[in-house]
Amino acid sequence: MLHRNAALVALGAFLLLSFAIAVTVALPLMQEELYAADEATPQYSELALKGKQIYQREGCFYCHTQQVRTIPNDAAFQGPNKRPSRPSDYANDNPVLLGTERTGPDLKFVGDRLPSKDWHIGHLKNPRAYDPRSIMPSYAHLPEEELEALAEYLISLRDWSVKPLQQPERLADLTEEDLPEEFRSLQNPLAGDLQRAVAIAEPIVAQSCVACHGQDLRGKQLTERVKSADWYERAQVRSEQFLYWAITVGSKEGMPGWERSLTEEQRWALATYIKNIQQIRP
Amino acid sequence: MRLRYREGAAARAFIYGGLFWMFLGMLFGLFAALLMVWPDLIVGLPVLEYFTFGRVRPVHTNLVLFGWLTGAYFATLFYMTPRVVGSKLWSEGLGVFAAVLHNLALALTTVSLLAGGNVGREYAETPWYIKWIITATFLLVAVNLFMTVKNRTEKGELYVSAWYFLGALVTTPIIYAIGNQFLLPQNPVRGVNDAILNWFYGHNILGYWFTPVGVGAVYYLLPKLTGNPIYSHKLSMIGFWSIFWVYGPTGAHHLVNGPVPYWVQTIAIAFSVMLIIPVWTVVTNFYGTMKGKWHLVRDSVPLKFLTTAIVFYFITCFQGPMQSLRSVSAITHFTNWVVGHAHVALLGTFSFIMYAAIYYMLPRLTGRAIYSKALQEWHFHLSLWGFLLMFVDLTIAGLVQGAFWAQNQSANFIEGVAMMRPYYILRAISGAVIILGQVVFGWNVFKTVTAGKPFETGQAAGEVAPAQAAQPAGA
Ligand code: HEC
Ligand code: HEC
Ligand code: HEM
Repeated sequence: MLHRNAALVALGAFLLLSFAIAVTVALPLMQEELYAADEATPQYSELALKGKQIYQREGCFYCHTQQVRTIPNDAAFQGPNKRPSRPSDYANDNPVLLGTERTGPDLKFVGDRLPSKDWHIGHLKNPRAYDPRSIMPSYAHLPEEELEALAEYLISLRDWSVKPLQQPERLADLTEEDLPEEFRSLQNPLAGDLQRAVAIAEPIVAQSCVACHGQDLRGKQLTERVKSADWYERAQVRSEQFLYWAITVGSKEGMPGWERSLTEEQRWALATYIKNIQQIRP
Repeated sequence: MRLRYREGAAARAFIYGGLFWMFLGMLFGLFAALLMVWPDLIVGLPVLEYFTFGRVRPVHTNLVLFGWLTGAYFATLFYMTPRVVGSKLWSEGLGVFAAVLHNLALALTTVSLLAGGNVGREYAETPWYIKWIITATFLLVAVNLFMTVKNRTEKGELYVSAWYFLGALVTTPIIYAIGNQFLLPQNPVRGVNDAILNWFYGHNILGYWFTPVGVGAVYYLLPKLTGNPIYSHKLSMIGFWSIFWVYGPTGAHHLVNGPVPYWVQTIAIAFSVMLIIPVWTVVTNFYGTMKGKWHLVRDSVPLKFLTTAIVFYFITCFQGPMQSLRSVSAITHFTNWVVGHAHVALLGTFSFIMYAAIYYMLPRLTGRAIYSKALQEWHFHLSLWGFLLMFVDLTIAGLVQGAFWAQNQSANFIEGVAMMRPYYILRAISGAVIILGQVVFGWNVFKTVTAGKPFETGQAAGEVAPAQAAQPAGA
C-alpha cells in the first residue's frame, strides 16, 4: 500500500509538483520570444537604472502596477499607441515590477503621460500639493540626486517607438513670438459657437483642470516654486492659438500635454473657454 | 559536550518565537493601515520618515507569513509528526537550533527591509543571504522530521496528517528556490518570465506549504477534540492526491489579462477551477468528522477556531477559482478585494487553525493547563469579529474600486482613491480589534506557561478521551 511507505508518499508529491514545474515554469522559460526586445522596449540609462533600484527599495510597486491589461477597463493607462503592455515591453527588466495592486495609477506608460522630470520631483516631494486627496507617501526626505534618478526612471517608462512630446520649459516665460509656426495659422473650428465650446469644456475643466488650476481657475501654488496659470490673467495676453498649443503640448514646468488624452475638438473647446472666461464665469 | 533538551523543547521554542513575530508583524500591518489613512503621519520625524508604506508593508507580510505562521507550523510539525508516527523527535537539539536560525533570519529580514534591502519580488523581498538562512532552517527541520518518520515504530498505514506533512516538506524547498531567484544574488531570468517564476512561487507557497500543513493539523486535531474518527478514508485520499496535483500550475492566475502568453493564463485558470475538487472533498471530510459532536463546540475554543477556520477555508477556495476567471479578474484584480482574499486565507483560515493547535499543544508541551477559559473566549470573539469586519470591508471596497475603474476605464483615478478613505479607516479599526484579541491570547499563553495549573491528558476544556480507529496514534 502506497500510504504505508513514507518515501513513496513524498515521491508522489514530488512527481506531481514536477508536472507543474515542467508546464508552468520550464515551458515558458524556453520561449525565446518572451525575452525579445523591440523598438518600443524601454532603454534605461545608468541614472534610470539607479532610479529603478530606488523604486524597488521604497516599495513603490506595492501601490503601482506596471502592466496595462488587455481589457477596456485599463484604457486610460494605455500609451500613445493605444495598446496594452506586452512581453517585449519588459525585455530589459530584471526584476520585472508588474505589481499586484493599484492603490495608485498604473505607471507602465507614465513617461508618455507625464514627461516632465520637474513634475515628478515636485510630486514625489509633496503629492498632496498636486491633489489633497492623494495617499501617496511624501518622499521629500530622499536626497536630491535620488529624486532625480527616480524621475529619470519614471520618464523612461514609456513606449519607446513614439518620440516623447517636445515641451517648452516654462510657458509663463513665453510670448506670442514663441508660438511655433504651424500653430499660428490654425483656425478655431468652434469660433462663433461659444455655447457648444462651453458645453464640451465644462465637464473636462471640472474633471481634469481644477485640481491644479484651483476651483476658481485663478491659478494655484503647486509647489514652493511652481504656480499654475491664472486663466483670467492669461486670457488677456494670449491668442486662442497660443492657448490651444499650450494645452496640446504642456510644459516641463508641470502643465501636462493633452495631445494624446483629449481630442482636437476638446482642446479647442478648452482654449475657447479660457479665452472667454471673463464672460462665461464673471 | 552535548546539550540535552527536554522533550518538546523545539516545539515550544517555535511557539514563543512565532507569537513574538505575530505581534510585531500585526503591528506593522496596523501601521501600514494607518499610513493609508494619514499618509503624512510620520513626515518630518527623523529616521521614522523612512518608514513609508512601501517599506512597512513587506515587513508586515514577511513577519506574519514567515515569522508567525511558518513558526507556528514548525512547532506543529515538531509536535504532531512524532505523535502520528509513534516515535520521538529525532533530535530536539537540532530543532532548537533551527528555531534560533529562524529567529535570526526574521530579525535580519525586518532590519534589511526597513533599511531598504527590498529586491523587488513580492513574498521574496529579502536579500539573497537571508534566503540561504531560511533555506537552511527549512532543510534542518525537514531532515529532523524525515528521520523521525524513518524511526517510527508503528509500521501500519501512515496517518493522513503525515502524508500532508511529508508532501509539504519535500516540495516547499524546491518552490522556494525557484521563486527566490534560485538563491542567487542576481536573478538569471529577466522579462516577464521573472514574474511567472515569482507567481509560481507566490501561489505555491500557499498550495504546498500553508495549505497542507494547516489541513494536516486539522486532520490531527479534529479527531482528538471530538473523539470521532475521520469521516472517510476515501475522501482523505482524494483530497490529498488531488491537491498536490491541481495546485501547482495555478500561479499565473495572478497575471490574468496581463502581459504573459494567453496559454499560460489559460492553464492557470483551468487548474484554479479544478481546485474546487480537493477543497470540497476536504471540507466535506472535516464536517463529516464533526457529525454528532457539534454540541462540543459550545465549550471548546479550539473547536470554535477550527470550525470557523473551515468555513473560511471554504470561502477562500471558492473565491480563488472565481477570481481566476478572466471576466471576474477584470473587476477584482488590483483592488482591495484581493487583500481581503489574502487575509481570509492567512488570517481567517490558517492563523485560526494555528490558534486551535497552540491551545491544544501548549498544555501537553508545558504540563500546564490553559490559564483562563474566559480569556480564550475573548481571544476567539475579538479575532472573529475583527476579522469579519476587515474581510467584509475590504471585499466591498474592492468591488467599489473595480466597478469605478470599469465604468471610467481607469480615467479620473484620484476619485477612486478618495472613495477608499472610509474603507481604509474601517480596516485600521478592524485591525486594532484583531490585535487586541492577540494581546489577550499572548497574556493567556504567558500566564499558562508561568502560572497554569498542572495539566493531565484529557482534562482540557472540550477535551475528549482519544484513541479510536483511524485516529492519530499517541497522546
Ligand atoms: C501608499 C501607496 C503609494 C506608494 C507607496 C507610492 N505611491 Fe505613487 N501614487 C499613489 C496614489 C494614490 C497616486 C495618485 C494620486 C497622486 O497623483 O498623488 C499616486 C501617483 C503617482 C504618480 C502619478 C501617476 C499619474 O499618472 O498621475 C507617480 C509618477 C507616482 N505615484 C510614483 C510613485 C513612486 C516613484 C513611488 C515610490 C517612490 C510611489 N509612487 C509610491 C500611491 C502610492
Ligand atoms: C498637474 C497640474 C495641472 C493640470 C492637471 C492642468 N494644468 Fe494647466 N498648468 C499647470 C501649470 C503648472 C502651468 C504653468 C506652466 C508653465 O508656466 O509652464 C499651467 C499652465 C496652463 C496654461 C498656460 C497658460 C499660459 O498661457 O501661460 C494653460 C492654457 C492651461 N494650463 C490649461 C489647462 C487646462 C485646460 C487643463 C485641464 C485640461 C489644465 N491646464 C490642467 C498645471 C496643470
Ligand atoms: C496573521 C495575520 C495576518 C496575515 C497572515 C496577514 C497577511 C497579509 C498578506 C499576505 C498581505 C498581502 C495582501 C496582498 O498582496 O493582496 C497583507 C497585506 C496587508 N495587511 Fe495583513 N495579515 C495579517 C494581519 C493583519 C492585521 C492585523 C492588519 C491590521 C490592520 C493587517 C493589515 C494589512 C495591510 C494594511 C496590508 C497592505 C494592503 C495593501 O497593500 O493595500 N494585516 N497581509
